[in-house]
Amino acid sequence: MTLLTFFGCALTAYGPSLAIFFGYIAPNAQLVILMVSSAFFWLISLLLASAIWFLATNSRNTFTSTIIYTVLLQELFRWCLYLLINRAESGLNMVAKHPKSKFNRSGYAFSAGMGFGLMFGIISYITQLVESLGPGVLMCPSCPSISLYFISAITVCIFTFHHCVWMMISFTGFSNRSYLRILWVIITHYGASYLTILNSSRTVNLGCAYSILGNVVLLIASTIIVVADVRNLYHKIS
Amino acid sequence: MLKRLAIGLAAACAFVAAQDSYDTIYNDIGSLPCVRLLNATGTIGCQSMDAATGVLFRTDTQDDIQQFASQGGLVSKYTVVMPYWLLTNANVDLLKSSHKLAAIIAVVNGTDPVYSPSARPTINISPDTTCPNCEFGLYSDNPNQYQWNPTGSGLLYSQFDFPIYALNTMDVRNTMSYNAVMQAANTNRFRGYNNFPLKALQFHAFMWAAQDAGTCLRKGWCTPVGGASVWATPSINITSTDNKPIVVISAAMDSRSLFHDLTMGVESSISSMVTLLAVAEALSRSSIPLDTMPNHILYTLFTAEAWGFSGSQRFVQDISTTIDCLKPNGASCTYPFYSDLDFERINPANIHAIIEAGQVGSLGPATPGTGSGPTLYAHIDNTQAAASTALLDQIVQVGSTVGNVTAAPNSTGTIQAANSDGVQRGLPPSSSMSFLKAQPQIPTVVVTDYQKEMSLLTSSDLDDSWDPVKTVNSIQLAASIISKTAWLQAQGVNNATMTPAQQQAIGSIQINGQLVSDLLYCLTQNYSCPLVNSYLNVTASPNPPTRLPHYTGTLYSQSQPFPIFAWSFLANMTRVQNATSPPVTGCSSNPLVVQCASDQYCVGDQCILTMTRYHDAFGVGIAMAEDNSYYIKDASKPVWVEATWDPIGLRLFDVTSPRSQKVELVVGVLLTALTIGLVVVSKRVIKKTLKTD
Repeated sequence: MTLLTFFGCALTAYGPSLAIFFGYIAPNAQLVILMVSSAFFWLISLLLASAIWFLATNSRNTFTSTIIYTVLLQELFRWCLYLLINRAESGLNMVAKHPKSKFNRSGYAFSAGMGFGLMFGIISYITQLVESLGPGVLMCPSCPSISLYFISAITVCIFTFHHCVWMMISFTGFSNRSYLRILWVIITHYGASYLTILNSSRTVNLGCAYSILGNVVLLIASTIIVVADVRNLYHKIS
Repeated sequence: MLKRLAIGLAAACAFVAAQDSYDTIYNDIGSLPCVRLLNATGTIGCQSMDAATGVLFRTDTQDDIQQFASQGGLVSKYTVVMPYWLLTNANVDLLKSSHKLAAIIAVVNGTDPVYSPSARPTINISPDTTCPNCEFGLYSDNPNQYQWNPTGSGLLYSQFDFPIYALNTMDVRNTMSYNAVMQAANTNRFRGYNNFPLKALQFHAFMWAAQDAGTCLRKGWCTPVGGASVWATPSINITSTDNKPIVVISAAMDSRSLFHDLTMGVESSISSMVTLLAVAEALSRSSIPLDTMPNHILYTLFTAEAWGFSGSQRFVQDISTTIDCLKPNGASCTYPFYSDLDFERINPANIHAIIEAGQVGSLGPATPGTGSGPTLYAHIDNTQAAASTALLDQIVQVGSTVGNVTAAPNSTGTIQAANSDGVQRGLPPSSSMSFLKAQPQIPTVVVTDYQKEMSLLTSSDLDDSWDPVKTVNSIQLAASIISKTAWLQAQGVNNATMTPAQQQAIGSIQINGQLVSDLLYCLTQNYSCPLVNSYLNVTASPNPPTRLPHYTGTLYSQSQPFPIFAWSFLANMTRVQNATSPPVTGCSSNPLVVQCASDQYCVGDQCILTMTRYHDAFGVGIAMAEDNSYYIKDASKPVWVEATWDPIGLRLFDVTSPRSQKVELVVGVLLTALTIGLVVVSKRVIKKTLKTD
C-alpha cells in the first residue's frame, strides 16, 4: 500500500524538475554541463556547511543557527558560480544555438539554478523517500493528519523552483550590480528556510500550511521579478 | 529527531541519518510469539509467510469481537488485541472469516483492568486436547479411552497462518512492550479506527519448516523438541544384576502452552516437580540411610513429557534395550550418542513399584454433604489392578495417618482411590504409562488432586500463579504421602509389620513446608532465588534470570535451567554420606585450587559422590544419525519438532489511510503532468520569441 505514497511523493518532489530537465535542459549539452557543475558547487557549499555543523557540537540541533551559515554558504557559492560562468560565457555563447541571443544568460542562470535545486532535492529528500517505502509513516508534527513525506515532497518541489528563480535574479543582480536583487535573494532564501521550521513545530497549529503558503507566495514574488527582468531584456532588444 | 528530519529540508542540509529516521518512524518491541511445531503428519502453531501488518484494534469482550467481525466501513487489515481467554477456536474462525484479520495479540497479564488477573474468567478452558497425549499413552489402542480433559478446546493443535503474539507484564522489558501496544491501541480506539493516522503493528514471524517433521528434519529446517531428564538414586552401587527391587518416584518437569516464552504450568507440571524434590529432601533425612535399605529408590524427573511423554518413553526405551555402542568414548558413547551409560545399571525387570506425582497443586473443595474434606486421588491401571492394589491400599493407609489438618480439616483420609466411586478410568496421562507399556506388571500409582477431570488450566498460559497457603499445603500433603509410601516400599514393609526402629525412622520423614514454598517461588517467579543460587550461583551473571519458561525447548540448542537445578538438588539429596571424612569444599568458589576427584561432582561448592545423571529427552520416533542429523525412525511414536525461525520482530508505527495515499499519488501525477505541459508551452513561446528576435 505504501507504494502509492512512494510514487506520489517521488512524482511530487522530482516530477516537475525532471520534466523541466528532460524537456528543456537535456536536449542542450552545454546546459547539462552547466547544471552538473552548478550542482557540484552546491555540494561544495554543503560540504563546508556540514563541516561547520560537525564542529559546532553545541548547536547541532539548533536549526535557527544552522540555517544562518548554510544559507550564507549557498549564496557565497552562487556568487562563485556566477564568476565562473561569467568567465566562460563567451565560450559558452560561441557554441550556443543563437550565439548572439541576449537571453542566453537567463538560460544559463536557469540551468544553474536547476542544478542547485535538483541536488538539493536529492540530498535532502532521498533518505525520506526510501523510508516511505516501509510500512510506517512519519506524520508532520504541525499537521498530524498529513505525512511528513508528502509535506517534504511539496517543500522540495517548491525549493527546486526557488533555486531556479533565485539563480536568475541573482545573476541579473550580479551583472547589473543591482544590490537590491542580491539582497532580495538572500532575504527570501532565509525567509523560505525559516518558514520550513514551521513544518516541525508542535505548537503552531497547521504550521505546514503556513510554511507551504508562505513559500508559494515568496516563489510567486520572485517569479514576478524574473518575468519583469526578462521582459525588460526583451524590450531593450526590441 | 523529528526536528532533525525537518532541518534536512529547512536548511538544505543532508544531516538526515538513516538510522535516526528509522528510530523515529518505528518502535521495535519485544515479543512473545506462537511458533510452528510439526509432528509426523502435519503442523500446528503459527506461521506467517509475509510480514503481516495490521492496524491495532482493541477488543475487550466477546461482544467486541463479534462487533469487529461484522463491522463494515473498516478499510485495512487489523491486529486484534484481546484478552488471552478470548482466544478460542470459535473466535479465531470468526475473525478469519471477516477477512480483516492480520494478526492477533493475546494479553495474558496486563495493568489494564480488562487484562488483570482478577478479570480472568472463573471457569477456564484448557487449550489442550480432551485427553492430552493419550495417543501416545497406555490406552492408545482403545478407541473409547477415558477423556481426562473433557472441556479441552484443542487450540494448541490448531494451525494458524497468521501471527499470534502474547503480551504479559511479567518483567520490565515485556511491560514496556505491553505499554507501547496498549497506548497505541487506545489511541486508535480514541480515533474511532477511521481517523488516520492510526497505529499499526508489523510482525515478522516466518517459520522455515513446512509439511511434517520428516520433511523438515531432512531439510534441516527444524530441531527436535526436547531437553534433559534427570534421574537419581541414593544407591550409588546400583547394578542391573543386583536383583534388588527398585521403587521409582516419578514426576514431570516441563509443560506446554501456546506461547513457549510464557509456559509455566504451575498446576500442570511444577506442582509435581516440586513434590518430587520435596520427597527427595525428606527421604534424605531418613534416620535409616536409604542406600542400606533392601530396595533401591530411584527418582526420575522427566522432560518433554508434554510432548507425547517423550522423556519417559526414551528413558524406558534406553534402560530396556542393550545399548550397542559403535563408537565408545570413555564412559559415554559418541554413536549412538549417550552422554553417559550409567542408565544401563537400571534393570527394568527389577522395578518393583512406581509412585508418580501428577497435578497435585490444588486440592479441590470438600465434597458437599459427605462430611469428608478434600482429598488427593490415587489412580491405578485397571488391567493390572491386581498387581497395584497392594500399593494402592498402602498409599491410602499412609494417607489416613498423615493427618494434614490444614489441607484437609475434618477429613478421615487425605487420599482415596480414584476408583472408589466404582468407575475404572485407568491411569490419567502420566509418565508411568511409558513404564507400563514396557513392563505391564509393575505396581503403579499416580497421585493427583483430581478424580475425574484434569485441571482446567492444563497447558494454559494462565497456569502461572499459586497460592502461598493452598498450593503449598496441597503439595506438602502429596509429598508426605508419597515419601512415606516410598520409604515403606523401599523397606519392603507395611504399617503393621514395622519394627519400633522403623516406626521411629518413618516418623523422621517430614516434608519441609518452607522448602515447598521456596521451590515454588524459585521455579515460577525468580530463578535467582537464594535456594537456586546456593547451588548454581546464578546471581553472579550480569543479568540474573527471574521468571523462566517451563517449555522444554529444542534439543541441545537451548539452556536447560530447570533440569540443571533439579540435577544439582537431587545430587545433593542423594549424595553418599561419608562419616569419616568431611566433604571437600571450595570447588566452585576457588576452582583453581580445589578440584574434585574424577568420580565426584562439584555441587554447591562441595565435592560429592552421587548417582545423579541427565538423560536426553526427545521423541522416541526420532533418532540421531552418525553425522548428528536427525531422522524419523518410527512415525507412530512422538516425533515433535520445532521449526527454526528468523529473528522474530514486532514494530509499531503510524499508517495513513489508503485514501490519503491515493491523494498523494494523484497530486504527484498532476503536478508532473502540469509541468510537462508548461515546459511544452513555454518552449513554443521561447521559440517564437527567438524567431522574432
